[in-house]
Amino acid sequence: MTEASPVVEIKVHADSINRYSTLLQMGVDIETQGAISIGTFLNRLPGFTADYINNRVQTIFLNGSAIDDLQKPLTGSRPVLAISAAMPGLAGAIFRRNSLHAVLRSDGVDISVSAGSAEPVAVTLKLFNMIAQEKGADLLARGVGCTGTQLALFLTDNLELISTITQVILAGQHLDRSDFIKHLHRLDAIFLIIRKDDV
Amino acid sequence: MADKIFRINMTTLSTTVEDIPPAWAGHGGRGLTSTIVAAEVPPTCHPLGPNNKLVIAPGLLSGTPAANSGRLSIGAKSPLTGTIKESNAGGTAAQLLARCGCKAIILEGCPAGDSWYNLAVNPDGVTINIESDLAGKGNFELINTLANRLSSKQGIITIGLAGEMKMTAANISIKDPDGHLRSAGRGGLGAVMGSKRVKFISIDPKDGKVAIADPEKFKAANKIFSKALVDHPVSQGLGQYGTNVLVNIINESGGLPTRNFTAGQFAGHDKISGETMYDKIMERGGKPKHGCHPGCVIQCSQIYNDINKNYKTSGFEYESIWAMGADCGVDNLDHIAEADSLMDDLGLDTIETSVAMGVAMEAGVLAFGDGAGICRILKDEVGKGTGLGRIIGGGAASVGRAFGVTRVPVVKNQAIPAYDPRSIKGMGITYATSTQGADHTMGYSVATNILKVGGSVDPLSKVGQVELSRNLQIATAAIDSTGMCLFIAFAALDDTTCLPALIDMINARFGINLTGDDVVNLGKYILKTEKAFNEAAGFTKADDRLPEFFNYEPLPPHNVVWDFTGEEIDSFWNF
Ligand code: SF4
Repeated sequence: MTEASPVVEIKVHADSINRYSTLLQMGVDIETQGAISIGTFLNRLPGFTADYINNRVQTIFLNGSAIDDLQKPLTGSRPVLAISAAMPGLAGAIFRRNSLHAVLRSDGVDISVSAGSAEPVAVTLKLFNMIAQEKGADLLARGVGCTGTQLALFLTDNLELISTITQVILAGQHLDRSDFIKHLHRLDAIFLIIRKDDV
Repeated sequence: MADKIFRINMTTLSTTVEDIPPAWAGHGGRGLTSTIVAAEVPPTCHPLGPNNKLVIAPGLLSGTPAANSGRLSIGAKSPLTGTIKESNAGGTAAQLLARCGCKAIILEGCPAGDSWYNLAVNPDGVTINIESDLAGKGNFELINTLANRLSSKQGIITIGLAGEMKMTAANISIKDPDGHLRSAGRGGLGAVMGSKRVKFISIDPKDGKVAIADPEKFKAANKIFSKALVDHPVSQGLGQYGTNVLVNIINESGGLPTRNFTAGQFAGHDKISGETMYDKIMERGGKPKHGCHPGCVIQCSQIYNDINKNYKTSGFEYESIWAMGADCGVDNLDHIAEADSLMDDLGLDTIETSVAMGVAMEAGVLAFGDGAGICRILKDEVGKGTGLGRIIGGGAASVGRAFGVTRVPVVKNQAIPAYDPRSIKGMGITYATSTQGADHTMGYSVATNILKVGGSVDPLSKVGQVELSRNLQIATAAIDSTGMCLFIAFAALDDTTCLPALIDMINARFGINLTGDDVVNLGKYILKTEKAFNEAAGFTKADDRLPEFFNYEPLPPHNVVWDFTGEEIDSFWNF
């Protein structure tokens, strides 16, 4: 689904690329084969080595439920996967993977384990905090699915970012950075690529 | 120089410096405030009358170079909850009081007449002065005025207009190293200080120092302790995003109370999250990392500037941002920062007051999402002490009573903070059983594994879960006695060197030989002392309950309800 959408390719000043990682807290779409495990899905993301997943990714939610086991399959027709570093507070400890405080989660919030279908699915992936800072730029350079409105809202809320953009290409056409936001609202789905401009 | 008790009687306007009774000698922080309140305050007294006492105590390690040891405990019978209360905060006061040789300040009695007073503390004791300039002024003007009147190094403990008006959501503020404020927020202790007509307390340690019995051992232990804190991944996240890093996580879990606890997710979460706040801070020349007292190595505080890059607020915490944000349906971080600043100036607990606003929104006083309206009500109603202002300044339960709202999220009259107990039941057990009303800081994840209080009952059973929560509260009460910030908890949980190093520092400071068992026993003693006070004040098991709407209103999106029975909750006290 996402690769077939209009491609929006943005180049930005290298020192501002991490500001764009904040977009990932809203959730972006990543196409994948269905019925794979969370661990396998994460491992296919750029920079998510086994070591990084085991040590840095300490908090995982699948469809709103905290997950301990990376072998759990992605479930649902549109799985929502949110990942974060270790979090503070009792609540942070409760949601941490394999925490001894996990017993203090609420009953009935766990998800069922069903293998699902092997058909491709679009996973809504949310990257939070340190994970977004550390891996967001590589993910954006590879490309993610989102709506035009989502990108437009993000840029409207962060208008100072417009000056960091050096090039915008929408469906093969170069656009002026000062007014390309207006084109975004009419696009239901886009495939967004944000790269550092190394020049 | 041995530490002393500094007693101030506001009825007779007299002060004494007293030796420490042997039974109090081993205590500090919350352990000491609760011990003194339990020993000297009649449990059935009126919290704003002459028989209540405000007790202010640095922690056992305050004033030493121990990392993160500058929290100040303030205790009394709470006018909000009617229970015993301890609230703690950073700032410079704990360290400076310790350097004065002050084990605790006991502020008792109430003066006749309309005068306001200030108290000046130094190593020789306390002097009481009439304060005619600063009564009726906000906290910010007070701090600015005192910057000229006193030396910049002096500590200041102050109340704003809310404390002067004896509102039960009033807090007590403490000056931080940059001249901004940190607040002992919960329980209305600012009203107790206001009832004694003390506007502020200044602290000048002169050349006082804290003696350490074994400096070498202390230094070695502090090195290990600090390293464990700095290296821990949670500390790194806290240093970058502050506690507000939790917005996205708690929202994702479905436990972010939204629009007066009617939903567990907030559509505007990304507009008020720690990640968004970090971007704004960097863009506007603020500081993402800042310590609430000297010696903090984690630095979860921050300086948040307004859109014109001028200072707006600091110590902008998750619970405050949640309360004014999701709970009131406000997704504008600048409105939230403005409200935070107004509440700091008025001297109001940001959790209690904002949850009260959420209840008022449900009552139709203003619309959900009206951030500008919240600021207007704070300025024009609460700040001026109008009828509506006093109802809101009385806290969430006060608003519920005044407007006939049934969905009032309080336990023992204190507002439930930022984690919905239906979705995160571990928090619910803490809220229900805490000796001090709903409070998320009462049961932190402090090294129950290392203290060997991990639990003996099946942890998946409800009674096992209550037991785990009890052990968290026992460990937390002990840590609250040290003057340590609770964010040491994560390192203490994961790094086996951290907690022993903390105990080594206490031993080196006093030349004693505490063990892990002693720490556990201290925590148990504190909880039991506090419970005994509450029982004598008239509290029963029936008060250890969440509001009933949590039992019958499923919380979207997971549609969970609170399902612990009274019997299961009561097993908390089986120790
Ligand atoms: S970590 Fe935060 S609350 Fe703790 S001492 Fe440092 S600034 Fe204060």
